[in-house]
Amino acid sequence: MLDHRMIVEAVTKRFEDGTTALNEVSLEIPEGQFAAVLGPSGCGKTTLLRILAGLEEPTSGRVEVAGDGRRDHMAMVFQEQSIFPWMRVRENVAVGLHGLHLDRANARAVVDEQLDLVGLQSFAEAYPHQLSGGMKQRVSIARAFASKRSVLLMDEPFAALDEQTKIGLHSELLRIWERTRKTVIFITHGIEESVVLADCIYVMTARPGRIHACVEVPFARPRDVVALRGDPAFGRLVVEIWGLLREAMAA
Amino acid sequence: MNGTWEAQVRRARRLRSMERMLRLASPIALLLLWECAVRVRVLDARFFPAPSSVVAAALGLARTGELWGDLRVTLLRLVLGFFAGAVPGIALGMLMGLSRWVRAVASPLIAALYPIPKIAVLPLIILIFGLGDLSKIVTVAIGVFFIMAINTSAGVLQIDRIYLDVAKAYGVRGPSYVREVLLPGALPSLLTGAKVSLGIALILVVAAEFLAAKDGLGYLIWNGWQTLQVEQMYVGLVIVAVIGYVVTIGLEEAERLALPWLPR
Repeated sequence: MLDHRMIVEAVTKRFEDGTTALNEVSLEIPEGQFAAVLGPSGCGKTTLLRILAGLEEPTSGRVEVAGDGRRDHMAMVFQEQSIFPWMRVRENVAVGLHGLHLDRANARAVVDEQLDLVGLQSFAEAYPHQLSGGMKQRVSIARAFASKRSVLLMDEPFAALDEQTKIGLHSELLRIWERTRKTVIFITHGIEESVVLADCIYVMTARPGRIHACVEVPFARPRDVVALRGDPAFGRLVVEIWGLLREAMAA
Repeated sequence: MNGTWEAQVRRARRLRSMERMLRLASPIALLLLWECAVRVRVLDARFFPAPSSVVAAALGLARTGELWGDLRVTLLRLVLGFFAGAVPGIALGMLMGLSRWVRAVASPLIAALYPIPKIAVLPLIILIFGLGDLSKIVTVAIGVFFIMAINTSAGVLQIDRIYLDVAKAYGVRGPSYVREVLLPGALPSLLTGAKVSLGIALILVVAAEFLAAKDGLGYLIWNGWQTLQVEQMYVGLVIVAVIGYVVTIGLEEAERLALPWLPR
């Protein structure tokens, strides 16, 4: 088994118009860690994730997973509605299976299993326009897990959802993640969200984005996303991170 | 909303069937109006014969078999010309949507050639392809080709970037990229192109038959006028209108079936 540690080394991204989105960002995320990248809007978080996913090339620097330079270790969950409107839910989840070369029966079994995990078995034959925003993101998550890729990249996947849906999805995501313990890099601007989900929170500065601080989240797993919010330590950590974020925005 | 859920569903169904009824009823109403106008001599029957006498003329032409021959020839030219233009048009449109280089080369050519009236180059087409069916088919194909190329490339270009990113992120490439992402994404625009270009194809085939044919509905119309058999001309005109109507309705139904994923 390869070591699927993710190494980001001095990644800089400068766009054609001269703006620098990322400035020498370095990260080392151990295999199996749930890492949150927290930062103010426009700090280049999404750019960082797109570089990790291989959707954009860094101006300089290096990204490596499992030391083999390949990018197909990453499965991406996008911020906006990203499931294909012309495919049924089942077909959308199966998009994650590209390159796995499964036969029909196996592919069907994997899709069914993932749909079951996100509670959408009865919507397998539905089209996306029949689903709510939260259900669409669950399809997107099922697609990512179906791919069996070792690193999950999530770009503010719950940003567009209402609070109740969001909390429900946090608990679902953690439950599914516990089964596989993939490496996760979760981009967000929500402090509470990052504390609930992550093992480790990387706080980024405003543009050009740099890593300002790294905070360990000490809470034991499996976590109860609601009960955790009542823990005094949770509140203290949120306040501490808010302080770091304010520093980062001033920096 | 008032009423139970069942009542609302019934209401929605009633509205939908009313919409379909209106689609059928509007041409019939126009024909009735026309018939009345001739009977009360608002319209001159020598130039605007009543629908009933046009029907009589059509029955006469149908009995001699003349009508079926012309109809068959025109439909054949229409269908062959449509496919001969649509297939390469869709292929070029796909390539234009995919590659900025193909787009850079092809779009100025299309912009310059598309507006040339196809009928204006009919003499050239006849020179190259002769006086037979082929010249008519080619005329139709050229008209269809440009519209399909333009609509397909626009359809590919308007696919939301996010879907291209998803395809890239999950390694959807090659034939499955075309089959699962590009074609279905461009399909609404492609079908609109098909509707528009079938209308144009009908205009072109009739016009080409006016000028250079000894059979077909266009010839029937032109010959009817030349020999002062005005009813015969109207038979041709009405049949062309009916073809246009049937094709449009058929394509709309096909669209409904081909795009089950569009919210309606």
